[in-house]
Amino acid sequence: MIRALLIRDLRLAARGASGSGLALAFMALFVLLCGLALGGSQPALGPGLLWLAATLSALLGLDRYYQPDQQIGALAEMHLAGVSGISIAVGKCLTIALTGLAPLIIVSPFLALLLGMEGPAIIGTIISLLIGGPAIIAYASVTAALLAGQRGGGVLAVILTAPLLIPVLIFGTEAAVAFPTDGLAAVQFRILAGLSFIALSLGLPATVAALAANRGA
Amino acid sequence: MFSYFANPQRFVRLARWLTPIFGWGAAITLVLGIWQSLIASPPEAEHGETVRIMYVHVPAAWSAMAAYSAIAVASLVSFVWRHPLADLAARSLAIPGAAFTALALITGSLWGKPDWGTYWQWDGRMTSVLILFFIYIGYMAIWQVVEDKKRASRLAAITAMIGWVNIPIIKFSVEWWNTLHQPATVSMPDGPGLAAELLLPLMLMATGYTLLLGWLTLRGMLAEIATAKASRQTKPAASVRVETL
Repeated sequence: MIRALLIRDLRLAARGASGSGLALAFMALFVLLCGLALGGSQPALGPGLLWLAATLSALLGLDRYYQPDQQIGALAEMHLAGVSGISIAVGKCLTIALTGLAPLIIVSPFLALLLGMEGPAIIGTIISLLIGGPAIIAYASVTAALLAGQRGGGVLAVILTAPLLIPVLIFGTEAAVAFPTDGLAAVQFRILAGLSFIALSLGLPATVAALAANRGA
Repeated sequence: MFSYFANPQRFVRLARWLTPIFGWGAAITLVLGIWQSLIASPPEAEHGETVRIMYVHVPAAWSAMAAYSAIAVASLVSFVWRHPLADLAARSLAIPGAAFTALALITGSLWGKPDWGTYWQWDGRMTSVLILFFIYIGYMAIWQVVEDKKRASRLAAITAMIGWVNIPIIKFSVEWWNTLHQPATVSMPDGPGLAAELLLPLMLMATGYTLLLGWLTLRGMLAEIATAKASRQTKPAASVRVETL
């Protein structure tokens, strides 16, 4: 069932409904603006800026997760067809990972070059984004599900998600900074993985509950 | 007892009786506590006179965390059993809780300047309390934004329960990150690491803050019940006016 949902969402994304191009443009523009505002290349700030850019562009696309499906009644149809809430949540999170976060991670090395970062720092940033990515997606999914029935909840989405993402942001940046010296053995990578597990175990059930609440159950 | 209070009128009767006890209790203990902490107690050896900030700061931080934990428990009760009072309790706790969080942050930074030489440091304790403040804001915003009250109560309950993960982080942050904020001194395994003449005003203030939190919450719940009752009664009154015209 998850596969069917995933194929449906990927097909929709391929036809331009996911807005991943927009998120990419936002991330590139953010890094460009940071470079200009901070006066040229800032290799020391690079991991933090890339993490910030990835987090913010993930938050930017929140209203495209569940809101369209809620509005056209697709979520209610799936519920009537007997699709379990957790399948919907997992399918959507996988879609976001593939269409939302993966492109951001793929372009991040090129943006890192703009910031004047070196090889090991770039690899560290990418690995930390890969490990912390599930946490970003899980918390974004909860907020998106909470506000699925709400038009124009953009600012509220940021207010609700950002506090939960702060620990991920802290340890993601620290892990990326620690990578060139300590490699994957850096303790921050383990904490980051733990945060991702916590986020998934909290976020998926909460997403299901929020979708049920928005259905009126 | 749980289902007994499912009827708000029974709760109102109990709350009418409890509210003055909490209110006067808070007033008396806070006056005694402020007199003890600002005038009667001696300055501390290490911190000097700035220790008096502690009597405002520490109970505020305790109350902020207690209020959020109470919101999370009330949200669980509301989410699982759909108890009508649990929502009111959670909603009424939010504003005092956020105020206590802000008080803890402000007094903490005022204490940090003379003691550590800085108003703010991004250490674990301070950052996690700041996060708690934003979680409070997000929780209150959900109630504001979602119009349908039934849906708002479900969504706010989910938000509150997820946000609770931050509370253990605050509690243990001083042990996990050994940076600027000092670790717990009162709840230590071999008795409180605080002299009796400093502990007395702290405990008085903590009791006062807790009673104040209880009073504000009860008042908030009574006000919510009264508002709900008033909004139910306005409709027939309007139709009567139309008829007489």
